[in-house]
Amino acid sequence: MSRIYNDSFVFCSSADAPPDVTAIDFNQVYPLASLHFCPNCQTPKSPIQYSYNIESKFCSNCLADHSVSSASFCSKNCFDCPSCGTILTITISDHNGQGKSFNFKCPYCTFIYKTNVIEKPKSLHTIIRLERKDNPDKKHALFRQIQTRLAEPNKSSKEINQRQLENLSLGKKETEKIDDFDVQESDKDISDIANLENILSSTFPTISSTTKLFPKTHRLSSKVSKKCLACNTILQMPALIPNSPTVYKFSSKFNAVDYLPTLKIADAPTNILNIDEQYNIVLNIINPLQTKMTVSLASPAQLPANCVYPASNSKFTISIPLTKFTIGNAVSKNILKGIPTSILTSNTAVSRSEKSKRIGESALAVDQFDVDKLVQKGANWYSVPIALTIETGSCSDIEHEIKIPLYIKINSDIPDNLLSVSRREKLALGYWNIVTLGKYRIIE
Amino acid sequence: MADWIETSSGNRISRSAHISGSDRIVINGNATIHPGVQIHGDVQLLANKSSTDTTTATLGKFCYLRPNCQIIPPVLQECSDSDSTTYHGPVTIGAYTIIGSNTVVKSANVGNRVLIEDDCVLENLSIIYECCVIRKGTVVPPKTIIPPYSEVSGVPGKDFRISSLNSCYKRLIEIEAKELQILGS
Repeated sequence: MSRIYNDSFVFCSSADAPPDVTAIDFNQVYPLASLHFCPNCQTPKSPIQYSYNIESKFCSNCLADHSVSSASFCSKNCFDCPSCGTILTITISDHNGQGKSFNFKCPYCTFIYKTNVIEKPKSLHTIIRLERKDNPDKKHALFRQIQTRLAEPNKSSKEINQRQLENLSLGKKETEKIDDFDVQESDKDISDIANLENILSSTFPTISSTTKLFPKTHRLSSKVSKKCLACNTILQMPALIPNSPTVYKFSSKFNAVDYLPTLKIADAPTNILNIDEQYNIVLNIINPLQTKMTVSLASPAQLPANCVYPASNSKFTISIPLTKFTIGNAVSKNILKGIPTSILTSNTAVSRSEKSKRIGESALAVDQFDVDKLVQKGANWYSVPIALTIETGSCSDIEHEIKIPLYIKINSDIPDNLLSVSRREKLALGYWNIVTLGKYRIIE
Repeated sequence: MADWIETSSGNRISRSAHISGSDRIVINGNATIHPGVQIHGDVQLLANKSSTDTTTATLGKFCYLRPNCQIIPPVLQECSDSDSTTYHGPVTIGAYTIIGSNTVVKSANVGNRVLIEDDCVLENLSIIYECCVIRKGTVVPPKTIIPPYSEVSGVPGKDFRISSLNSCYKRLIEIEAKELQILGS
């Protein structure tokens, strides 16, 4: 039962009120694992709903700390291959006391670069920069020309304007080549990729493999803090440990997986759905909190058009027999008790014996028909069946992707770690959770 | 005869796994080693005067090795004309680390709580720090260092990419490794 490879997605909206199911934008649904949770707003926060701030920077290759500098590249001797991005190995060649040259070699591809003979000590960055200046590629030459002209002092405004016009014309000359390549007017066949590459190489002869490549400076890694854009609450703050750049600990973090229940589908039908047949899908809901959680489930009686892609003229109905229940708190020590029965396998002795034990217990516990017969429950989980029926429609060979929207309301005592940061006394929120069922062909 | 060997420390090792030099491999408990897994423990270590340890591969607790993956200690010195022996260094795989099917690990170190998906190649002497996700089909180039909380995907020169990973993955990968050990797949 993977929480990483999960077909359940949370809809994150910046609007205060939850939208109508037909207004759900599927571009704004995110896996639970990629979301933070704001303790003040009590809503899940997607990557576009929080701000970032770089707290420290370091080079992952030489582990040097660059937090105080404004650079985004390592200023030490760390260089990447311009072809494949691998860290280059650097060796020194001595030229009979006349000077030294540096050899850059990529351990992954065939890239090799050798500097000129250096007579006076200089940093490798300076050496590469000077050699790039002396042997610029076309793009760098153009920028250098523009930079030189703009940097010329004591020019009257008229002259500067003239220069700017010339610079513009220089840029225009370069873009003319691109404008000349009109795909629509071209009578050349571009359907074949190999043919397209030939056309491009003939149109842009300057872009060729003969352009001299220089080692690239290595980009720095960073530790970032995140703040809610709505209330400025800290969602994640790294603990900065001096001289240990690769130790990544957090002084505070609020992740959605720690506060919102994990939803997981089991027993979903395979590739084909028959019209007028009912499919019982098991929805497992797992409580991550150390306190009990009351969950209310709601779904539209009929799947809205935006939940079936490509659109189908079939009518999908959904019914859930139990919509409100209380789930026990998470069991941190015995992980086996926290796995729903429908997820247990027969692959290991432990899983096999637990599965038979639970099936036996549930068979003995219920002696008359009630709703409990339909659901299964454990220490911190509930398994609720969802009945999916296709009432009308026509057969099609196209595979339709079916998503089930569920509105989930949770109520719980506020967890201990939120007491100091939250202004509220209860944890209460509602959100849309989209469960992707899979791709199906509809047949009669 | 059962297909699996189950040890008192909770290790589950398939009889079809190819583990060479088992006296030089340390498995810390609750690890699962699937059929077809190759662990090359019988390599020649480069002599280190300060250490007498001959361990070539160390697996942390709750390690999960999917079918047909390979653990090869990193090569430190290739064989030459004068010496036909290839010298290796030790490899350490951290706790709660999951290694996917057909993946080849030649890294010097793979940290704790690392998820490596199927068909990846971790080239010689690469270092993966804690809590990383290596996506399916990724090639990590030689001597590359992957910082903590990174998601790595693609092939160098084509679409290789290192991006940041949400902090919740530390807990998620740990739960995933524990559940895999219980569920078996």
